[in-house]
Amino acid sequence: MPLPAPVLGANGPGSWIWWDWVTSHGDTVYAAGREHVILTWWAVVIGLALALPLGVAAWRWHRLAPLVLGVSGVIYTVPAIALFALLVPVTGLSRTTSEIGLVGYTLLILIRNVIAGLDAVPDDVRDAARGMGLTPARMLVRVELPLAVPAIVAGVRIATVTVIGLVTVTALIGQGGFGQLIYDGLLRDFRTPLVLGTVLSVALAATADLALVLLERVLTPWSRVRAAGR
Amino acid sequence: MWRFLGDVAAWFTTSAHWRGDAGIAHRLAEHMAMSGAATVTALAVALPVGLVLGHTGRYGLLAVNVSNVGRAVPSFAVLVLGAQLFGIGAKPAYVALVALAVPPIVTNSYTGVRQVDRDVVAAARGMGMGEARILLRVEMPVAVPLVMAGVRTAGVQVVATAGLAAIVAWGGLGRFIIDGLAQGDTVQLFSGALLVAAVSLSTEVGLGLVQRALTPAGLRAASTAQRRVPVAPGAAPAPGAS
Amino acid sequence: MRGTRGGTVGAILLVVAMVAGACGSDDDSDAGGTTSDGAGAEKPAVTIGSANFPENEMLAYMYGAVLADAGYPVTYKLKLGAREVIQPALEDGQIDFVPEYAGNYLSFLDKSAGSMSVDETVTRLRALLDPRGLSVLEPSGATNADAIAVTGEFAEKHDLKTISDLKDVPTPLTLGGPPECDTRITCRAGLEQVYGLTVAFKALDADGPLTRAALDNGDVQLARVFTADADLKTKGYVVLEDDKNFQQAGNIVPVVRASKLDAGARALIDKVSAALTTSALIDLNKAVQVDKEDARAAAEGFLKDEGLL
Repeated sequence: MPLPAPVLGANGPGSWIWWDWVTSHGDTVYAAGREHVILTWWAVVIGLALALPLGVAAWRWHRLAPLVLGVSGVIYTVPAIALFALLVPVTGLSRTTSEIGLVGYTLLILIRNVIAGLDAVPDDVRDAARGMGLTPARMLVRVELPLAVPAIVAGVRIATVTVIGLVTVTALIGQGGFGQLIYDGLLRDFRTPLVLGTVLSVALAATADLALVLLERVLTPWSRVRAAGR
Repeated sequence: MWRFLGDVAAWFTTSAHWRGDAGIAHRLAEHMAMSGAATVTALAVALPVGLVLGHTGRYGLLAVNVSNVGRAVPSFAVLVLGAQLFGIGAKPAYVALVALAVPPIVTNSYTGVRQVDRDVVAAARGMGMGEARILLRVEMPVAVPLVMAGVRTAGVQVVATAGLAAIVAWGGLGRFIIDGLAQGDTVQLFSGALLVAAVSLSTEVGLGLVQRALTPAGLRAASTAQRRVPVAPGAAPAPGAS
Repeated sequence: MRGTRGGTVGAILLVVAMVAGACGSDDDSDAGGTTSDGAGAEKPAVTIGSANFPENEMLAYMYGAVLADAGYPVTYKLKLGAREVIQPALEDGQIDFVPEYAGNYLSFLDKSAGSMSVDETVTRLRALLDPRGLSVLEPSGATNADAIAVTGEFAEKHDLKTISDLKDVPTPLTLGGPPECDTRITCRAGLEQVYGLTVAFKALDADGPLTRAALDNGDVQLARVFTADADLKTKGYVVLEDDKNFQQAGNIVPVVRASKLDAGARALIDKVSAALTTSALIDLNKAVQVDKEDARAAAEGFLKDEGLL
């Protein structure tokens, strides 16, 4: 079924997808995508780098858990635009500001999942490891964390998709990635970049999610073996 | 920093800030009314869909993943698109918020019904119960905890995102945030953020209480044991205005 | 041991990915927010900022294109927000250049400043900004002043020609404009103080689609518009005469960091300011806002026509 004219046709500035504009603005779109990926990447990597030790600490020393989860939980409830805006007087209209906010939002999800993943390690596996003479530290690195990988990856998936959505809000403080296209659509009453920015944002999230699913398969070869063995 | 917090306290205690259309009271009422309306609408739309799909087992992949896709769509974009389609003000905010709330409710209703033991359903069918009765009497009660979790996720998300809707000329508590940003009035901005965060937290807690109240006692024990289960894709709420 | 293989692979992947990510973020480029161009070793780098409305973005590109062409490395930080956000960024060095509007800028810096000639405005600005290390360059002849507009029907219904005429309108009035308008002496606060008009306020945008929509559908009766708007006439809006002179001179005036811009750069900037006229500005606004041309392309087109690029 052919798409209706306003979508297909090079109608012009008013149509939802003005193809001429799309094809002539590849560099703008590419630059936006690049910024979006970079902002997301660092937010998730730094978030994970912080969440792993914080999660492990909260899991090992139970008394820390309410503090760690509480602080990250509070950050989580602050509206994104407000968090970014409040950081601006401190860290300027810069990527740093965006990254601090974005990392903050990943923490609750990632920490919660690190804890849950570690909790889910069966006791008999721990006993066996202890029986083989592994110290708690080695046990953590060689046994518990690898077994927690599915839960952690589940958390990284959610965090990544969430961050990709939040990056668009940083357009209001001068960054934005694909959010720049959406913002342009708002300021100039211009539908094409608005639609394009939205679609590409969702596509990026779907791609990242898929990539992480594949990464999980790579990181947990034993689950494949178990499935194959059935 | 203390001076700043003092300014914030002063902002809250200025009675003029509470009165009138631009006052805290009105904005709060506006915000909650919109959030409530959007969530209820989403419930009315999404719950039947999720329940029926769960009962029949059809389109499972779609039902489970719709909330992932929903989380991937930036609310900033949904609001601006809504303004393009419906003009400015309350309408695009309402549509965007309903669109945001539907996915988690669909996914959770579907999953909730699916977790009912199929043997129990078969037995009920064997006893001569009609499909509708099975859904209402057998499956729904078991599904309630998950459904409520979905409503809770959706509700908190709606309340938080309503804070962004001020960019399409709506009101609500987000007004203090957006205006504070534009006017360089950090006190107003911070106060707005506090209000939205407080309201989000209250919604989370409040709906949590409703969830507990609606969960049959036998299932409540099971769900406490489940509390340490990892957050799977589809179950986590999105942070403020994602 | 089988279990460690996944862990090793994972660790390697993570490191590879981090290195790749680090390489990727070498330069600070993005779509409309921040971009860099121009090479040049000796010429000082300039960061040009703009407010969050299309005309200002276009002006940023216009001045920037000329500087980049002459070999100055130019970085853009566009659509940052309103003056309330940009001025702090200008003062603390995040940006070096902003195309400003003389009168409104003065009002912002000195709330007690009344309406005055452009020359006096610039003198006052220089007095305020030189101590802050900021230079106000020669104002352009092109003006884009703030104004209050109503729909044609509203003007006809209440026989409105000047802002003072609004006093006789029996129904309550709401003004629509960007959020910062509420507290500005050149906007809603000014209507109250200079004209004695009590109007309600609805926060929309800086004379963008939200304001137009609100004015058209009657959500607001008054709108903050800019005189260089491309479509005031085509939409049938009536701009009310500012009989008590609460609006300021709208001449475009570049504000730069004194230490960053050398004489050569300033000369180039002055040339652009001299070439720009109000009617050219209106045409450019039409191109960017109505015809959805790129701000950058429109600016460069103008410069080429004027022989500046």
